[in-house]
Amino acid sequence: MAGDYHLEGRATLEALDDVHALFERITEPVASIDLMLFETAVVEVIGNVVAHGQLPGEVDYVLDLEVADGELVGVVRESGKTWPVDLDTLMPPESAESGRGLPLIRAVLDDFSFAREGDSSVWRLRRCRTA
Amino acid sequence: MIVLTATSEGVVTRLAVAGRLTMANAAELTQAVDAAVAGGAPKVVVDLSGTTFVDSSGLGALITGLRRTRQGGGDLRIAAPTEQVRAVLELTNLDRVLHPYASVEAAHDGW
Repeated sequence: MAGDYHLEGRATLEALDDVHALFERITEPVASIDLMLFETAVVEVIGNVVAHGQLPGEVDYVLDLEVADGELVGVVRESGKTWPVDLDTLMPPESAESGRGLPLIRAVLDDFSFAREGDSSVWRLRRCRTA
Repeated sequence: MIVLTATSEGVVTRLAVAGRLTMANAAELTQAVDAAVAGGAPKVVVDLSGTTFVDSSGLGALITGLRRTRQGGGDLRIAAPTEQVRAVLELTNLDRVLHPYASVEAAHDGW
């Protein structure tokens, strides 16, 4: 079974609650581990936009999720100005009090990319389904 | 949102985190840990049995709490993490420094 989900709004802390609410609406029979970890990745991406998008509080985002056969796909388009994004940053040591967001996203996805497309930044997420 | 409840249990402070521990509210956990340390009870058990979700900011707050309790002569232990929390702890290697106790009672062991 496949399904498409859409969410858009201003990238503020409230957007994180909206993302969780979106995942609660998913009705397709996706394995809980896949939904749980994909939700984790999406929340981290939106959180990045909230925390670092320029200008703070003035960035709009659009989230499109697809529950497809064999995979979960997400695209986040946001209107923030360019900021440095190092997708290859390594998981920090256990004592670190920050810096785990992007490594955590990479750890739960099969594909993850960031690119500027025109005036927007586009984050693409994909996780293969276990069931 | 989270509902954070601090309970004194002898020499231990139990912090129950109900809800999602994320960048929106991670500072509340840090503040609660600081209050326990400042109050002379730096042995803290974070009850995660009601924590339905944690993000990297929530993890950071747990590590900050670990550092601050140890600086205060105590320690921080986590108890009963739910499935998502346990998975994220393992993926970030934090289960090496934050050993998940099966229950709040087990987390009191030795204290």
